[in-house]
Amino acid sequence: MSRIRKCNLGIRPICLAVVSMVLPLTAVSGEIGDIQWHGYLTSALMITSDGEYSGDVTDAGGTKDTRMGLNISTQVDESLSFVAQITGRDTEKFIMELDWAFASYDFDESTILRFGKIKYPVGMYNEYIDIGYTYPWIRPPEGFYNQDASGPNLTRVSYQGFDAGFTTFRDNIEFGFNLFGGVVDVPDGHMNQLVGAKLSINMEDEIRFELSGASGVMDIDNSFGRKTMMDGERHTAYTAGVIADFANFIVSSEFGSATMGQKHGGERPMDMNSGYIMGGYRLDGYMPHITWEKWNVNGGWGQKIIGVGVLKELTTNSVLKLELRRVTPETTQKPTGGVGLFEDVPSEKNVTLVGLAIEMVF
Amino acid sequence: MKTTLYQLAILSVLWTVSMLAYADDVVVVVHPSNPLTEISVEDVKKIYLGKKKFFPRGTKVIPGDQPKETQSHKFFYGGIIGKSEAKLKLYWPRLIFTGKATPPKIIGLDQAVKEWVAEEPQAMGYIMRTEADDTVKILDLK
Repeated sequence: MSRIRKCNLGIRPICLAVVSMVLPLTAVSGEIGDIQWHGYLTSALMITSDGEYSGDVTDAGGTKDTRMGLNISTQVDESLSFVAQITGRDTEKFIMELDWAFASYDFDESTILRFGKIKYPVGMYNEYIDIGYTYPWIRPPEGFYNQDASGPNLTRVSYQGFDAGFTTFRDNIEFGFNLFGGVVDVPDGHMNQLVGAKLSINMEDEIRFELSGASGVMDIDNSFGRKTMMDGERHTAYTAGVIADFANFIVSSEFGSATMGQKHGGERPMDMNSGYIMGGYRLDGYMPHITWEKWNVNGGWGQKIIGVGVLKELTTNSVLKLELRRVTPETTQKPTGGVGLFEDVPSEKNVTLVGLAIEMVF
Repeated sequence: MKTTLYQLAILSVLWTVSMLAYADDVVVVVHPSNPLTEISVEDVKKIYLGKKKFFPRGTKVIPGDQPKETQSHKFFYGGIIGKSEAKLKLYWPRLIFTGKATPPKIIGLDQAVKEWVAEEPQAMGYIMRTEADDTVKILDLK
């Protein structure tokens, strides 16, 4: 019998949600001397009908995704600039921590070098994944973007290293190429010797294509029980994606493939494929959308999701989102227990997730 | 439903045509010492969308903006940049929060923009044609 989990929200997320309703009326980005600052705030609630879902729903059943961030930037001279972002998440103390910070040097109109702690550039939404205001879902498809140790492992939060970007225009088409490398944190360690590349094509911001590939050597502990299989092994991921946003229609789709660990009996323990497609339509301040996604680990613990949602513009810089998703995990259990992105085994074949979020930028 | 779609299409075309007509009423201005006399619409678009940081064959450009409630802003973004307010609202956060670009600084209304451009050699701004005088240089759009 289906049951909606009791939500233990706590006072801070509720306060933030209320503040986020009020702030759009008064808050603006600004400048202090040569420093520009901008901020964002998101407060999300997800409820599951069954199971402990690691994607959005914490053990308490609620607001893992409440967060607030501040972005500051300054232009030092014609070529050099610094940018940093601090983010506070709904952990016990809601401490603001450095999300990323890097220096950026423009060699000329088309060549830029960034170095420092940089947002991981794989996945079309990943670089601004914390800014829920910029996309239609409460969170981008988890079968692609989830970063748990036993998740899709396609993308990461940020890495420490460099990014060399090259951009050129042909007519109205923008071609971009990024070469990046360094060290990236994973949930149970690091991925060293990271090297990646991304090719992007942007047609007037109406159609954008991206192809990316990244590879590194895993240096991990045994906190998720995968040291024997993964430590010292190569992790490689490839993704391809498109976002079409013209007139009032928006279509977004990405596919990814990752290989991890050493082969046993001809198969690696965590080879996986993932993909999703989303379609939406803007109409008078509303945007209904529908998403289908599938994540599959070879012989393992993937899941399918079909989701529908609606985004409503509240003010010029805030939106309200409502979402309903049906998750169908594979029955094969993960080595750490649970199925799909569930940390336990739900009693039902299909699990319903209901979500509500308020997102804003200022 | 079909009627609504037709109405939306007609309104969209009318809005585009009116914005293109109004685009002639707003001019792009730079400091009088700037060697440029003309600039392509595409370059203006790139500069105001954070995709181009230098004048064509020149120094770094500092674009200046006006509040979105002004007529100049509406004509400039509707007629020259060709991006609706709805799309701009999503466009800039994606760049700001990845540290890739920041939006043009809002200088003020036509008079404030004109005074700022007259004092800042790297500046680029837009004002209503009727507000322009010889303290700034109007660039021909090609």
